[in-house]
Amino acid sequence: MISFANPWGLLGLLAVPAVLWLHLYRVRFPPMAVGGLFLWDDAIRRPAGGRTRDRLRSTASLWLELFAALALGLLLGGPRVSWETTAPHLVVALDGSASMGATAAPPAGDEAAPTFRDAALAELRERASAKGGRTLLTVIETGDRPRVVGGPRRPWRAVLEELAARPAPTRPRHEFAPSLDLAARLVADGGEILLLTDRDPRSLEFSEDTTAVSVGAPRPNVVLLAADRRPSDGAAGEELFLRWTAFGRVGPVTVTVRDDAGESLFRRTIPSASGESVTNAVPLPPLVANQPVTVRLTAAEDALEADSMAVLLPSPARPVRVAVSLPPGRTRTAIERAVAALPNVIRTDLDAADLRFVSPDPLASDGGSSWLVVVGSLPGEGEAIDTAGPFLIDRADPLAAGVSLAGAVWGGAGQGTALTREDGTFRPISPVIAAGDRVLAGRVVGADGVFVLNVDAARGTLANTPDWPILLSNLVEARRAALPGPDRANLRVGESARLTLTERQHTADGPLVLRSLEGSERIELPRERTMIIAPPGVGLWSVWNGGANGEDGGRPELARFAVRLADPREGDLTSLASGVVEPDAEDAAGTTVDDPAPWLVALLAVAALAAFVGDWWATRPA
Amino acid sequence: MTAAPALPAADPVTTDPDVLAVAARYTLSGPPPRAGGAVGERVGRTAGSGLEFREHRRYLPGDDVRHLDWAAFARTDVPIVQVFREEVARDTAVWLDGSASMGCDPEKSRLARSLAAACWRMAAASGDRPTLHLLSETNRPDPRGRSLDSLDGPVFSGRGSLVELAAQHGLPATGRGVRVIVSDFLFPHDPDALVRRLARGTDAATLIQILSSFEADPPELGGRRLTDPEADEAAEVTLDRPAVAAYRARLRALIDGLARACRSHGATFATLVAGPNLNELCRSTLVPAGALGVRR
Repeated sequence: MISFANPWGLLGLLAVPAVLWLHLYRVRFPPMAVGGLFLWDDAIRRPAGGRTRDRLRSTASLWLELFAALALGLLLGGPRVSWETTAPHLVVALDGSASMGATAAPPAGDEAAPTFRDAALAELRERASAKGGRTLLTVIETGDRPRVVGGPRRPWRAVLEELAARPAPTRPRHEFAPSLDLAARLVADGGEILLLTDRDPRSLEFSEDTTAVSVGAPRPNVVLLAADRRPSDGAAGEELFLRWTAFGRVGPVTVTVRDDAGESLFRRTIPSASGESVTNAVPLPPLVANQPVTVRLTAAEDALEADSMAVLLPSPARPVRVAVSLPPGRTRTAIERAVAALPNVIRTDLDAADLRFVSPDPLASDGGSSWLVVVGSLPGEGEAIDTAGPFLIDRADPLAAGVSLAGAVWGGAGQGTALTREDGTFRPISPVIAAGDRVLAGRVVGADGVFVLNVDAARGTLANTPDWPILLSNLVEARRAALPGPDRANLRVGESARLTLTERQHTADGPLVLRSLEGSERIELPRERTMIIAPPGVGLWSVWNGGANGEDGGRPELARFAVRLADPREGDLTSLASGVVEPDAEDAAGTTVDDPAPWLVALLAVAALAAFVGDWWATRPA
Repeated sequence: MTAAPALPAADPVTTDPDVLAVAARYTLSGPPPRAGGAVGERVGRTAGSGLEFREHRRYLPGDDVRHLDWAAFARTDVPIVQVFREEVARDTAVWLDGSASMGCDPEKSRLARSLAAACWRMAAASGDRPTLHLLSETNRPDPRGRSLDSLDGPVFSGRGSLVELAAQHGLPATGRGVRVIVSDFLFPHDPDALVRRLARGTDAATLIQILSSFEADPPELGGRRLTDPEADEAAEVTLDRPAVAAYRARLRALIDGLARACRSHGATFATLVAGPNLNELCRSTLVPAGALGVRR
């Protein structure tokens, strides 16, 4: 059966009746030499009355031109060959979890031990070949977001070659349902579903028409569950917090920490017991504060190395520069005291500040790139009051996170509901915390990064309650989150980081790419001001700014992330088991194979060319 | 590497068995040769100097006095001469139209050349002095004619008709005797003037028209691009019933005109259509038309 990718191209078949018309009305007379042409004078055609239809003669020219028109019409239509035959279609849901990269047996000698994934591919090869040489494969790598990594509907040998060249999967534990749903859609017009995993298929849920094959087997494994760099309690240096667990008889575990140059910073061998978690706090010298460090766990029996190591990048420094521009008094003191207690905050002058606390005088501007917090009683028609509530708190706003105001007396709440600017205009305030008709805290509408605290710390009890530092901490952390750059550098697989671009980076041209520094994977990112970055696999990843020009703010690499596998459910290989669950249904029907048919295109092109040449030959002058 | 095969002969007709057979069976018709010709095997019409006694008759002025039968004169006192048959050679000229239209059909071409060769050989077999003349503007008229084997090559390349040749003095000046003109006569002409010119200066003229089967009886083939190889002209013609009928009528008129003109000038005329073999054409057409006689 032939179908066409471009049915409009079949309009070219109108050339067939056109050729017939031409031959009907423009008869090509074959030449004939005669003596006595003058005797035919009465019959000689003279084009006086236009063309007349003549008897259609079966000539080589007619047939060749019809054939050429037919071939060209079909060629323009983009012929595709489908055969309603028994070409088996196997849609494979291949387990994409990291445990598939575990070795199925201890290594023998210097040779790398086969992994569960290797066993799954061998199983797939066996099943595909058993179905015949024309078997077509579509392979879905399972995950929270399944993706097609082989096919769709391609010959099984080619798909298996591609799969063999792919790196081992590194996804955390996930459900197979999204992948099996996708597989069910792909076999809607024929085919079978095969789930290949290392998990016991009898404990999984899937439809009855799915074949599930597990190639897993219990294996010992040691898993690095937590690895965090954090400032040490001392004045200088960092501390590396490690937590790991051994599943099965892995033997003694050696913990090694190395710096960027490969120098060992820490090494200790620790006995392990199956299922026991071990924590280690490793001090890091100040010299490696700006370097990545590598943590590796080694054991005699460790089936999966991917979850036994981690690269930890220095956490991005994101200090918030704060300026307090308030008149001396209780309010200023209360703010300075609360800000001083917050980590990673730098006091600075107004011009360099990221966050400015100012009095409610008329504002010259909205603050530009820095944030403004207007602190003080907002002038209104009535006098400022002290209120003990009830307070209306917008808990969806991050500024009010953790704020309860229980037992607090909010002092000096003015009646103002808008902020006055120097040019006499007003900006209304969207309340975050309110009491009666008084807006106690809010955001200025129409001005990003401008907030209002309608408070006089000298009155009431707010400055003495826990809500005061919480409120100020929320402001500082909101400002910190809006600073350009990544908010974190070390992720567990499946986690995400937030990356904020500068205005220049945001408006730059060119692609913004998340790319693997250890592989070839590249993911195009939307150039948003703030993006959520979720590297899909284990390893080092970089956000690459294709529009960078090398000047200030134009560094090509905007962020770097280290992603590690730390999934205890995936790391526990002791529960893996092999097994096969065959479907109850009969063999599925084959699928309709759609072939772009380059051979047919070439055949039609050659046929059309041959017809043209033949027509030229047939009609050439004698 | 093998040698290239020899090129085939250009359709030789002079040694064709059919031609030889026809030449052995038939003779060209025509009056006996006049006296004064070269000595040959043919018996002359006048009292001659041959050895075969023919008759006695009265002396006529101009008779050779050496042939007076003096004994009879003495007995009868009437001058009587002895008449002997004079053995003379008759001039036979074969004029073959060399225009390109004669070669537009292979059968027509072959028939024309075969007939010319047969006529030449008939004359030679009868003791005549045959000459062959190819009539075209590319051949200078030569009273001595051309060799017979020139018929074995391509001969039809002329661009002019016999009318045009006659106007340009392109016809050969052959002697008296028999003249056989082979042509298709498919060119515009005045038949009376044409026949008069062709028969001028000869004792007996025979005009044989050669037509291809298409020219004689064109079928209704539909559209054709007819080309005239002589004039480099072409015309699209729809060979349908009316066109073919009109053509046949014009061809009939042409043939009838030629026949009438030949009768009025004492010439013989016959039309041959290519197709049957030469012997059959001679038997069925040329002998009944008086162009040939059966050799005894």
